[in-house]
Amino acid sequence: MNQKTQDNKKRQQTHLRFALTCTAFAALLFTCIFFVYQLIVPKFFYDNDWPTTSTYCGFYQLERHTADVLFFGSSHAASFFIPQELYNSYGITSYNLGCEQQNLVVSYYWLKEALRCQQPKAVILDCYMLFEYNAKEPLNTAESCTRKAMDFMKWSSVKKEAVKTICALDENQSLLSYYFPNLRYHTRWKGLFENDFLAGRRKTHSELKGYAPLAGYCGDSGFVPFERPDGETKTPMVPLMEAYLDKLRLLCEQNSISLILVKNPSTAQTAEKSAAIRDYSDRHGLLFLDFNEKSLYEKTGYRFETDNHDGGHGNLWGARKVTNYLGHILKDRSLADSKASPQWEQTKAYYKGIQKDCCLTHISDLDTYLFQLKDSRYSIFIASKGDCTSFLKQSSAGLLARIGCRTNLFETPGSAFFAVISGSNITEQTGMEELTTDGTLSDSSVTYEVLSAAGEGNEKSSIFIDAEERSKNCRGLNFVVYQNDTQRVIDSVCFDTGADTNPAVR
Amino acid sequence: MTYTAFGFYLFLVIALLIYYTVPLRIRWVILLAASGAFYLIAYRTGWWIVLLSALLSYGAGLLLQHCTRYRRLLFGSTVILVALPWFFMKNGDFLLGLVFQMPPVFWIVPLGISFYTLQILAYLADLYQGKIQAEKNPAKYMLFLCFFPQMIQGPIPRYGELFPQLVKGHRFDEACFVKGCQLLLWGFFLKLMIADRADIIVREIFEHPKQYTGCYILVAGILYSLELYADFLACVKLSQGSAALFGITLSENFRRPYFACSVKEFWRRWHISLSSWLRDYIYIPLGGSKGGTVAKYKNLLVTFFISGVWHGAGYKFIFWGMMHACYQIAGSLSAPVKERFYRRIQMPQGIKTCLQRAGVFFWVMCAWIIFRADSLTTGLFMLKSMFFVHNPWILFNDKLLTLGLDWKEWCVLTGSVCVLFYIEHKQEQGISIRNVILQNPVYIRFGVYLTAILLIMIFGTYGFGFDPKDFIYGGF
Repeated sequence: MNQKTQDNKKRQQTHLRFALTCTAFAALLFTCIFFVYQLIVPKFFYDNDWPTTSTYCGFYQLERHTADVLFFGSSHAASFFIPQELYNSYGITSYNLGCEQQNLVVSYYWLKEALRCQQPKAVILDCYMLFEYNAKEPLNTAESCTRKAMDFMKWSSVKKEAVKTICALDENQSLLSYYFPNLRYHTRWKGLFENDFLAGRRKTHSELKGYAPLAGYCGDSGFVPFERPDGETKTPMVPLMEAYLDKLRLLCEQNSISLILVKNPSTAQTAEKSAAIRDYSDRHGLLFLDFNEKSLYEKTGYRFETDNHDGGHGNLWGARKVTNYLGHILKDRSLADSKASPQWEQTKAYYKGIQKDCCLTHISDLDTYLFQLKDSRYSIFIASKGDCTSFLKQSSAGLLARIGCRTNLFETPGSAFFAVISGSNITEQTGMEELTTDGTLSDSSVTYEVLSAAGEGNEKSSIFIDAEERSKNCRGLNFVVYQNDTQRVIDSVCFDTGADTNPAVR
Repeated sequence: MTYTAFGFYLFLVIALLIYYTVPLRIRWVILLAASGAFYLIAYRTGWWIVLLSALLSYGAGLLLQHCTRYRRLLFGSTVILVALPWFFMKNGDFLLGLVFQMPPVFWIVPLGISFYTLQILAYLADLYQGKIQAEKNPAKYMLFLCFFPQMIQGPIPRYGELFPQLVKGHRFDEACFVKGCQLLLWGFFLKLMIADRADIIVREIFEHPKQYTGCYILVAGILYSLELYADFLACVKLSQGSAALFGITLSENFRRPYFACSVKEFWRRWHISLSSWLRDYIYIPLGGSKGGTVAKYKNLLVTFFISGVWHGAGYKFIFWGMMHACYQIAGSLSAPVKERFYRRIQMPQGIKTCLQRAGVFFWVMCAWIIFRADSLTTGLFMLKSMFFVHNPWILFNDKLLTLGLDWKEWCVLTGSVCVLFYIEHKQEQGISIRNVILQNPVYIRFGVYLTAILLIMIFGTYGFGFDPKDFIYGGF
């Protein structure tokens, strides 16, 4: 009997020891898996045109109950609503939760999630996704974009409900893959890049509060604003999108939030679509602002050629006009109050910098350009091709010296020249032989290689950033401007200093 | 539900928890209930065919034990009745098309029919020969036939070997449990790192035999040989691993077949449970090698003909079986000549072994091309193309990177195959890597397991956008 008890005790001890070992192993395993998941989920920070990850991670960094207005919608919303502009002009605190191809299901659940930490007085929704966008997709937009928007929502009952709904609506999506992201991103190991490894640092970088700045001019796109439609012909909304618009509207009503429907200027908007939204807004007593309608278009002073990036998305200048008009409406109708908030105060300078970056890409005068380049946020690459001094003005040489170039180009006419200016580090060289230099920027995460060669028939120049040729390689002074903060090349231009007007080539 | 499905492991964990919490003497009941539940949850259709076959063989078994008259008739008729469903389901469409030019019929195919049919036939044959006693408890007999970790894809167990383990309740044994987990991990490695990755290229080439010729076929042949082995070995390891968690040891089904120095040896190492079944219940009853050389070769041809038929309907499987029979006959006939040649040139043993292994791999690979091709005609066309179309440049000009795997995937595949052969090389030397790992301190063991899990998780071929492949032998 005694022996049996001892045996049992021994067996129990062995089992206990084994259970403890298993528990320790499981803890270690889950920790490792957690880090792997952090690594493999794709991230879209400010170095991307649509910084979805920055948008949503930044939202969670807002202090509770500080944002009075929230914006939702697709990239049309992300590129048109500037929370900082709204604050600067009207003192209204807002956050843009729009993202690339945000369908109404995602908008609804992100609003629901937002209400867990904010008490907005108004919600502004861009209506682009109410109509058919991608008929092959059950949710009207690409699965990858839905994932982009959902992956960085924090786990809560809202996210559980959201993923359950999304997977029920789209059978190509798997519920398990939201809990075990390796099922969705099992091929990501082939394309991991610095954002994946530096996510912790980059997640905190969300000064633009969801706004995605664009700087291009679309030029003549054939856009013509229309008169307010009579409402007889209407484009039908996608039933699922309309159903979720209803849900979103009811959610706003339940939380005493004013819902404003907006359609930003876009070639995709038609009078029939506008009539459908107007009909919906009239039925439910909502305010609908269609900036494609002639009256509103003119009231905002919008000029499609220079205020639109590509026919659909607004550039900085267009976005400012739309945002300021919305600010006026919000104020006029007392939908939001003016208030000072340190969170929006702190990011004023950053926004100013972004505005400057956008302006830079449209400067065609060399002196003005050089004047703007004096900025510690920029790393500047200059490579000459051919004789760059023939029509170089003294004032330009002076401005080159102002940004850090010590070489006097007039002393060595006809020679090759390059300069790399990054903060206080300046590398420059001039001479008749082929000149090259290389190095790294941004904590060694970006490599560069600059080349300049002079001499009859041997003129060359190139500026490689991360093994990609970024220089225009035209006659004169070729500039490539790298923004250290957003880690993007923001401009590449050549000023032909071999011609008397120094024309710019972009 | 396959061995790689999340649901299978959820089911397994629940079954394990119940198994180890009930008293020892009724643990076999849990196994039976779990097997039944598994069948109904995972497969549903055709359960009544399994049940009928089980009841028929159970009753026949008892009669065979107790009757002294008409035993041969009883044995023969039961064998035919048990084998008929399998025969029709596997070969029905082929025969209907061949004889009556009829379109394919929707047959209800029970789970693991090819495996449990052989299990029953072996049971009946052993009983008939008086090697074993008939099982009196029908529930226990049912458990022997449908033990869920091995029912899907074998191995094909013998009654005397598996039955006592199933009905004996097992205490929780840490070492056995850890070894089971090791086997599961190894199975996942083989399936997700090698088999399913190689299949991307194999599928592309075999589905477009006119587009890909010459060296493409060679590459596809090599990859298919590796894929089939890794896939089948994976399913056996997962099956053995799952059984080991219950304290049950399933028989080995492979012994490093590509290390064989002759085709005869290959068949002693490949799908051992089937080869030994064919040997014990077909080849030896036919007379084996007793009746002289001609009779031996005739028996070989018959045995491999049956092996071909077991693998599937169609001429290609019969041709594949015949190829292996011919390889063995040719090997047997040429053995003295080859030995004399090796002795004369005094070839070092190491080089001789390598050459022999390469030769066996090549011939087996040629047979696998027929086995994998859509039809015998296509298979022969591919073989011809492999030998006569000259395009070795595709091995060097990055064309192989356009078949569905980029260079990173090729690196992972090559690395994984190297790991497989390194481990097999060690096993060939008598070293068990699993035991070596177990003898190390806990932090090293943790490190090895964690690395393996994370590697499979990161580099494995599975998930969104990937068409998950069933185990190849699940189709037999």
